[in-house]
Amino acid sequence: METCSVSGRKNGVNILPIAEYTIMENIRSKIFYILLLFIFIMAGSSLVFSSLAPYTEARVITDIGLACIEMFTLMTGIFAAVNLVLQEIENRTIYLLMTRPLHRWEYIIGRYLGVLVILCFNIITMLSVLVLLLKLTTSWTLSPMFIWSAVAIFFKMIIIVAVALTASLVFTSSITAMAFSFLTWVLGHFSSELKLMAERIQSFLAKGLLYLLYYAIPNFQLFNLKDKLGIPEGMPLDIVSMVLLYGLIYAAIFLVIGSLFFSKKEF
Amino acid sequence: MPAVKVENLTKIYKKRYFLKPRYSVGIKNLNLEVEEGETFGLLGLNGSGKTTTIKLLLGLLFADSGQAFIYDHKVPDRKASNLVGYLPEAPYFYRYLSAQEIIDFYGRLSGVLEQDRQKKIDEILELVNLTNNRHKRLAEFSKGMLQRVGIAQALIHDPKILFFDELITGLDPVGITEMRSLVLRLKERKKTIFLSSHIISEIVKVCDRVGIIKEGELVKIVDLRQLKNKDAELEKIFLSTVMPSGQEGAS
Repeated sequence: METCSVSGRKNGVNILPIAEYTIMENIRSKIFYILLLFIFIMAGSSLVFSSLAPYTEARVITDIGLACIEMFTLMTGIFAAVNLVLQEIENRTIYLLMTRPLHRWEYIIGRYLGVLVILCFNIITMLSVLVLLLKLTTSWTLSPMFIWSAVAIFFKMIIIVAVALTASLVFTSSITAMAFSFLTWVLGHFSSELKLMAERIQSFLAKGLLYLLYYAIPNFQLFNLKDKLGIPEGMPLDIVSMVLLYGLIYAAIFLVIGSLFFSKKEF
Repeated sequence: MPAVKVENLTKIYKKRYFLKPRYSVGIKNLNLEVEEGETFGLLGLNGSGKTTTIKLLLGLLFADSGQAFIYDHKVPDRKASNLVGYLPEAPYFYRYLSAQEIIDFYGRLSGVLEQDRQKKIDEILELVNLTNNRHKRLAEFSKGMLQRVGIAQALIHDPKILFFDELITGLDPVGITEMRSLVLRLKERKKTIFLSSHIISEIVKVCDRVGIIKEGELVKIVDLRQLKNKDAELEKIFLSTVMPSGQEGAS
């Protein structure tokens, strides 16, 4: 057996193989059955609502469909991100990875990007089903609101997957990590309410806590891109860029925290 | 230069029970050198510190004090990782991948260049006798076959040192024979092999030297090349070392 040339190891070079195998793992796992569940729920609800609300059925199906897409993506995103590393530790497959010339942060980023690609694929698949149902059952036409709502779902996932992945490394319990991620998601949708409460509450301790939550938790209300519609020429690119940048910065902060925890982890 | 060098390595495990920390010794002041091309066996009872030693050498655990080197690289170190191949006890793999895919994956992570990888995979699958099962998913593999996949992934980047933790535990007699034969073939190729086991009869068949570890301390190193009746003599030395005096005869 000849000695094989081993390439020079550049930082970040292992992110791609880790991401690719995360995608392959998800494609071959049963998580895709959730998409089938979505298709059945959507098909069922479209039949029910098209008969119940004959004049506004397109609007009702669109709203329910987008809400379903967001919830299914959130559930699969949190579940996949939390279980990825924890299962790897539990199954001991992590041993063979961590004994390779691999930076631990490369592993975290690779896993993160892999989950995001899978979620993007899931969103596109579910949107296609929704569009098909709307076309078949109503006189619906594609609107910018529809597209920006879908984009917003993905932007939110950029943050929540990083939160879930980091939570799994910090708490090392899948239930706690999932609960934390879900709580972050819920509170992030009430960001302005948190600030209002912080301003009005008398207790110094409660005020401090509410302000801490307000600043620490990502503001998911910013991602409601459809609320910013109304401009005839469409969605301004600078708004989209700012929202995306906000999401990326939050994700980066969480991933740095997660990588720091992971770098100290023993197996 | 020794392939593996360990100096005063200590690992204390800390666990919390109701916020109260409890400590247990993993290994204590371990000193050891393994020469290039040597096959070294770490022999000890269950929980004696064999796996802890290997994990410390591989950077899976962090030492509380002391240091370890793979050639001149102080572990944990990425360059050291490129020089070692590791097969853990009862290895787990991604069950949705095939043998070909898993070896390719670890090859990529170890930096084996794409143009070399396929040739290398072919050679290794041939070596571990898995060529005909290369496209089968690992979920369908027997324990012996998985162990051979484990050897293959450890070899993909052509490491200088191989760490095998409890290589034959849980294998049937055919699997044990296959593993022994593989280790001997790797030994012929001048690989440095560091293995842990509690099975004396197997360790004597492949090792040059054996370190006996008891309660985290390396208490004796035996050069098997100097023993005539290796099996019986090592068993006697081992029992007299690990068992309290006066109890050796009882076992």
